[in-house]
Amino acid sequence: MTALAAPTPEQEELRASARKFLAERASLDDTVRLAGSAAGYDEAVWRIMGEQLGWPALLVPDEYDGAGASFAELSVLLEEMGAVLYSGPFLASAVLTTTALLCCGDESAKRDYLPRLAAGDLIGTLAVYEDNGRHDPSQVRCRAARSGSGWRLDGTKTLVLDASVAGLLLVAARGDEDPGLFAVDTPAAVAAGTAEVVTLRVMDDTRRLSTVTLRGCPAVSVGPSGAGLAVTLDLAAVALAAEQVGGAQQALDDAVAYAKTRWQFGRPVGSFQAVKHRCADMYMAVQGARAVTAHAIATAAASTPGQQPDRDLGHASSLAKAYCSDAFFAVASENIQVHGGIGFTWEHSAHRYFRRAQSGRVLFGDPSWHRRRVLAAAGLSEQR
Amino acid sequence: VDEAPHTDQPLIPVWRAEVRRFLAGHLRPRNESSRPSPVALFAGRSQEQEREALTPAREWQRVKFEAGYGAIGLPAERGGRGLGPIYQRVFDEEERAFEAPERPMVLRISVYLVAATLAEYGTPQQRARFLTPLLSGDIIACQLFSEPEAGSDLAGVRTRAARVGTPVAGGPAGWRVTGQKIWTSGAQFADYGELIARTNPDVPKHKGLTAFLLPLRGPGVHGVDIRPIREMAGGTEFNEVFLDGAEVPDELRLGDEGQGWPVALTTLSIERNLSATSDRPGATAARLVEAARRLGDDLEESAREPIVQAYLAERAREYFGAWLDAKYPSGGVPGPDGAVAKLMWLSQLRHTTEAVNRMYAGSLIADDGTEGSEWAAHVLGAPGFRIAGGTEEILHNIIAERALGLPPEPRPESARSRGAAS
Repeated sequence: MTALAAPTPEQEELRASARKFLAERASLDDTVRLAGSAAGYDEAVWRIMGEQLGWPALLVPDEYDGAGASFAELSVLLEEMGAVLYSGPFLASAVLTTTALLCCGDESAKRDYLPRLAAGDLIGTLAVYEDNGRHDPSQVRCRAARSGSGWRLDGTKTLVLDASVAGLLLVAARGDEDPGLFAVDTPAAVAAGTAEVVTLRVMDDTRRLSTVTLRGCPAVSVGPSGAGLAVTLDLAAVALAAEQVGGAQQALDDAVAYAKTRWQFGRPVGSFQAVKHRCADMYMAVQGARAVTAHAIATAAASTPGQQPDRDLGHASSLAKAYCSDAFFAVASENIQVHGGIGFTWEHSAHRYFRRAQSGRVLFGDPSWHRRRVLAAAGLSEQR
Repeated sequence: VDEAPHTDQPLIPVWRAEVRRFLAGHLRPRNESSRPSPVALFAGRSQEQEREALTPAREWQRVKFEAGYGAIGLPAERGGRGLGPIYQRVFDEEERAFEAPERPMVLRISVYLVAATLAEYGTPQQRARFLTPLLSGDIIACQLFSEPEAGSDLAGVRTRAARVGTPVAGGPAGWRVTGQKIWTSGAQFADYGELIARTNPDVPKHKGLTAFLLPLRGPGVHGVDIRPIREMAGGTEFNEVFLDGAEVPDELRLGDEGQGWPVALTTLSIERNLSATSDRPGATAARLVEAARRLGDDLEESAREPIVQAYLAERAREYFGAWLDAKYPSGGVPGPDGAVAKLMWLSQLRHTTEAVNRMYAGSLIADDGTEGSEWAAHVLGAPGFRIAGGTEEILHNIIAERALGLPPEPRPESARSRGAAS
């Protein structure tokens, strides 16, 4: 059994200031308004996060101009961002790319990229999945071939977060021997025609997903992938779980607020047990999600990013992702149900949480993948 | 993260090592040849078997109490160790690695519910008189809460306690109690019962209740008739208790007159949290996984989903408990959180029932002496816990009304209890 720590005063302060900033500058209304724009998010808000708030610097160690904070602080931000369905490239850049460099990158790659990622000047993303996005980093087929002092990449990646706005693309590819991680200067490669980024029509338009096709694309090796990439993806799943907790809490709050004010049969609908019991189940799902995520975050905060596989982290991560994906999806569905007809309209926010919840179930490992891992960790591997 | 919640409390690993040393000095460690803990939720024993199981459990409770492990969560000046709930959890975890006598339900009620309630509401005299014998298992106390007409609507209890001016057994002045209680686990072995009775029928129903520690056996006790009820799983853990002019001296009143409802809520909140984190070590998700492994290629593919769901529910419950420990380092979990913990456990039970259905099929309904048949008792016990200690529906109401602030259902009855007024 793991002992969990209560939030520190600093974390509480971070939560309050994040909530205030996001409400003022990145509310769901803002996000919806900007979803169709060229960037798809508010670039000015992203610059403030980098230059003034220091959010992208949280996970970056001091020696690379970062804040050297832990996953515990990061999760506070992710939860608040999840609550408003924040659509900027935080998850792709400040979590995925930063963690991938910390876990896989050699010293020069860290020195090259981390300070700029920390400042928010450079937006990074990570390209792992191929074909239909099955979550198995060992199945990477993208090829890396030596070319002079560098490499050239060939292959197609899909479900790449924020590739359309990223300056740095970290690609998992297979070299002559071991699989590795390779850095691509995305704008240059697109301009030269060696990389093609196709933005996908997505269920959740608060997250941009692309297919990236690489044809002899010049790249720099940043280090071996292997266990480091697996750790990166485990941490990504924990980060997503924290976001899902925030989203689920907001969907619950919305449902409860509506049930208190919507009257039918001469009384608030929330006074009917059929409705209030639904809300109680939603609350239970959120509390369970909080608990498993708190455990996963404590495990993540205690782990050292690196090349070593971390069994505890893998277990806690799959558990949190499996649980929170289901919980958020259930709560987002019930939020629509509690709202009735209005909840099924385009103008209402309920479908946006539903879309985010559905999309999150699949990202970073679908329910089947994480269930297999949970069962394997519990001692039950597949028989056949 | 294995840190102590307070600086004046031992580090968890230090505590764990201390506990392990104590347990090793008294018990045999579990190994492969140890009899596995039963998967049944209700013991399914006859009264005689219940009585036999109680003796070693009481002895073990005494040993623990004398060594300072009898009530780890209670304040030191009230017979405990003054350590947060996580220390009790660690103790229970370590105890499960040894062949400890199982704790029959009535002992759990006596030590963890009634004694804890007494520690909070008892007068200094009551605490001095009862805490040590209760915590050491010398005397046993049950709950006297539910009635035939006051189940979910517990505040509608009709059992009356009326003041009598003349001396009563054990005291100069007191109360005479008449009514009927039901579902009282362990009343047949109890020396006292934590009684909730109506002392004032003329005020709103929650306000007319008073709590007592009612003597159930011993010289001078009369008007108490305890009749066992056989439950659906086959055993006889609970009873009906008929009270016909049973006497309780005023010095055994628990809390002020009219304060019975908060006293009852305190006990119930502890109960819900306890049943969720309780020491029913048998039907764990790990046990399901082991069973599934033994089935090997015979494991039905469709059994995997309920197994993983039972495992997820169990982890959520465990981490939720740890999260509550961090949030409330000195204990005292509020009602809605106790309800959540209990509902998480019920969710685990539901998935467990489903898993054993998919794994065992025929062995579950016809005893063929195999492992599958043992689970029949689990399946038959699970419906009881959807009701005991507050039905699922009541727990949902508690969460909805107290955690989410949703309005209560309109109540057609008048503010006064009809039962009390009749």
